[in-house]
Amino acid sequence: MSPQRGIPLVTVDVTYDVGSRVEPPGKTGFAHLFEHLMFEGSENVGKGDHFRLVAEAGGSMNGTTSEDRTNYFETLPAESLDLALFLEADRMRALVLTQEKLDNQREAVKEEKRLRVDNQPYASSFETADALAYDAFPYKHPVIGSMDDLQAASLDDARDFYRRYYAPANALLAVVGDVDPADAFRRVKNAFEEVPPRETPARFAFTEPVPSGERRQRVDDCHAAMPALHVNFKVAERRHPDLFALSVVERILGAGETGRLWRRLVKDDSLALSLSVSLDERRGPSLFRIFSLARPGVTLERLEAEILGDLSRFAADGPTPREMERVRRLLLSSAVRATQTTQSIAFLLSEYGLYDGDPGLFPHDVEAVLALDAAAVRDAAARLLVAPRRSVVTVVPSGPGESKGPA
Amino acid sequence: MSTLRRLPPPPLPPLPFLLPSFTGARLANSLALRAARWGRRPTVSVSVLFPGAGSAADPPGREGTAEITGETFLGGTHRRDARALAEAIDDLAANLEVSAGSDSSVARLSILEKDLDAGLALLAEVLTEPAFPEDEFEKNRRRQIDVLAEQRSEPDFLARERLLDRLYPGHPYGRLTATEKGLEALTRDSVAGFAADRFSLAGATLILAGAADPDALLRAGARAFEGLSAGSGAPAAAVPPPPHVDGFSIHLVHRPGSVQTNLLYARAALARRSPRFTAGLVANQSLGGGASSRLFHVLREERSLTYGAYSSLSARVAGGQFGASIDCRTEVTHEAFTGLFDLIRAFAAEGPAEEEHARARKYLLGSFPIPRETPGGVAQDEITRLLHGLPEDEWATWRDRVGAVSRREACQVAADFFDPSTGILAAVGDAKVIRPVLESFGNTTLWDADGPRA
Repeated sequence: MSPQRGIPLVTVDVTYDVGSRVEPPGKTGFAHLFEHLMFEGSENVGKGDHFRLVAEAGGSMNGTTSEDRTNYFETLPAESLDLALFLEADRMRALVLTQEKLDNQREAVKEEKRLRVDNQPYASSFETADALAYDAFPYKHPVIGSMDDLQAASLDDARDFYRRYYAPANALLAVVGDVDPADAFRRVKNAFEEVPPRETPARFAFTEPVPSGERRQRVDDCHAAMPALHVNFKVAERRHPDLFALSVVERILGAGETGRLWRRLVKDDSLALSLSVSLDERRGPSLFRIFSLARPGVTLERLEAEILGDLSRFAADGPTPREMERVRRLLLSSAVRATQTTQSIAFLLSEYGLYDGDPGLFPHDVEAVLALDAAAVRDAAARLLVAPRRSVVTVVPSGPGESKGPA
Repeated sequence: MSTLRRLPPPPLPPLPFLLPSFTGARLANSLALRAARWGRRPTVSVSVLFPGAGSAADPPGREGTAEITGETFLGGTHRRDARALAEAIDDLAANLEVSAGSDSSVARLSILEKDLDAGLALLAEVLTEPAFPEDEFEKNRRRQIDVLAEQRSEPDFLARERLLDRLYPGHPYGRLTATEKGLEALTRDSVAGFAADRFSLAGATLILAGAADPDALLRAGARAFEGLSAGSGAPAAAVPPPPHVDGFSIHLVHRPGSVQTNLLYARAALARRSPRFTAGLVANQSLGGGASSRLFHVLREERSLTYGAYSSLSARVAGGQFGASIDCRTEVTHEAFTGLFDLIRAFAAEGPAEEEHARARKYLLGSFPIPRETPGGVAQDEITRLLHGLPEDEWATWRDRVGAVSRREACQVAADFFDPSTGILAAVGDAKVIRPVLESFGNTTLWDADGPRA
């Protein structure tokens, strides 16, 4: 609970401790498909009524599924806090699942997969990159799943999934906004006290083998116009000290106007059309990602050599004092921006609360990164951005091979 | 599972939401200043609006001028080269960009309040002392040509590009972005000339919103910009009214290998200044504004044809448009087309049901604060107000006007502006499969990703 006065809005977020990582082979995409079913009605909320009730309250709502968790949230006028709590409690207590709803949302999700992945340039190569980087199944398969597995999902699967993962003790509720905490706690209690306790699943854990050598794969992409390159490094889990150091490396290489890799390859030397550096932080092994589109005439071999050369130089020399100072200012500025809306605060509380048992860890983590010195950052880059941890996916435009003419 | 019958709880009495009022000033160089106290965190959103500096003002044959000009502002100033400028921006942990829309360009600076003076000084330097170095210009121009090639692999880009091209033939609004031909013709001097003509401080407005005393924000703005030359630019010519497009036609962009068909429809509608625009927004909300609207409910939730189907009402300075979209698997293109247009046609004929109309108004009224939670949100309101010449109390009275829209008015605006017997449908997909489908609905012209089919 975090009171944020001044603007009469409230965000209610329920984050469940279930993501695509729990899916076994043959059931991929199910956590996300189930997220869709959660909007299809519960004992006191008919099909379509969730959308209708939130709209009539002047609210926005959605849900998202990641590898590590599934969240549901509403941002609405603060006077409608009770409605959001009612909707969340009702679907936590008594979701109504039917074959018709499953069939309907299965098609919606298949369309979502076509829209976001199958019909877009480069999107499928991100799936390949994850499959190549990871050995264990939980992170090896995509959140959206496969068409075959989505097609095979049954109503029994849905009922079992709900029973197993949607217990109250497997969720965290965040309420952020223009509320009086004591009053809001009372309203939460009223709404949720009738949700009976259910057995919670055992804490999910899996083992990822130690990285043992560079991996490479080529993807032929019929939608891509430019060759592209993924260079990923498998690293430790979120909040590991290595990840704090890599978050500095990420910013120095890719953030702002001066990010080293972006500045040199995209802006100064015109070798890449775009380049992003990101730290994909997960509860298990995470990925330090670099993704870049090559400019016409620049081979992927050249682009890769340039990227790896810059990484090697960084690992040898480390950041400059000015870069360290800049990244500290950027970190503080980002922390302020990350807490501007009730929704962004709710997401931070939920993530830390669910994963770490302490919703208030965000400032602690900011401090932990601020405390790092250049030597620690250089050391992390030198130890972790290395060939045995590396996986490289090259994306080659394959085109449909059509000549112009009447279709 | 036990049974508990419950009704959705009613809302408590609504809490007041009062937008900040902007206070203004004008400097001797004619730059207008607007400032408001807003936000919970110590950040300031700074914008400089240059009306008439958008892509609609691109010189004929040099399409892309405004876009490249905006990017090249960050290529360096008379005091610092591109790298030194980049370092100065990042030293402040600021975001600074100059971007072109259709009717205007906007320079945006997002910065912590404690660094406001330094950020404003840098912004003023970028806008009034740009060097437009030849090499930076050339790099931006060449990159944009390659970006266009990449964008033509994206179905959404192809649909929007073709839609605008056919809805506004020969008109500046007919271009989604720069063109390869226009970019080839651009020179460093033409960009510098465009900047001199269109980015004059006279006619521009500096907008500051942040959790600080508005008078202090105004003083900070004045400290950075007073004494600077306004420049010598002449007012931009007004954008001509968009051409009238007769009838309904279909334009199919062949994208081999597509597994979906993207259908994007639009027709001419209301200008933003029209007194009926608010009624149009309410009507649009009922038809396709969100997940509780008719298009989404029927086409996704009932008929399983799509991930989402929506409609929209938007306006540029010289005219507005109503539009709708659906993406569907290739095999159900016929059903999606029929479903989308049957629903729009029925809505244009009958308007919203009473319940839909009530819900649309409630949604628009209640959700008003959500995009206005941050300083950037209220700054954007002020930009919209200034650009379209809307009255000072536009946002203060907006909810009253939405609340006053009757169902009858919503029906009438739908009848007048949502009727799909006129307009353009841009479709993107595998023409081998969907061309015959689309031809069964009307005159269909086939295009390639980069233009007319040979």
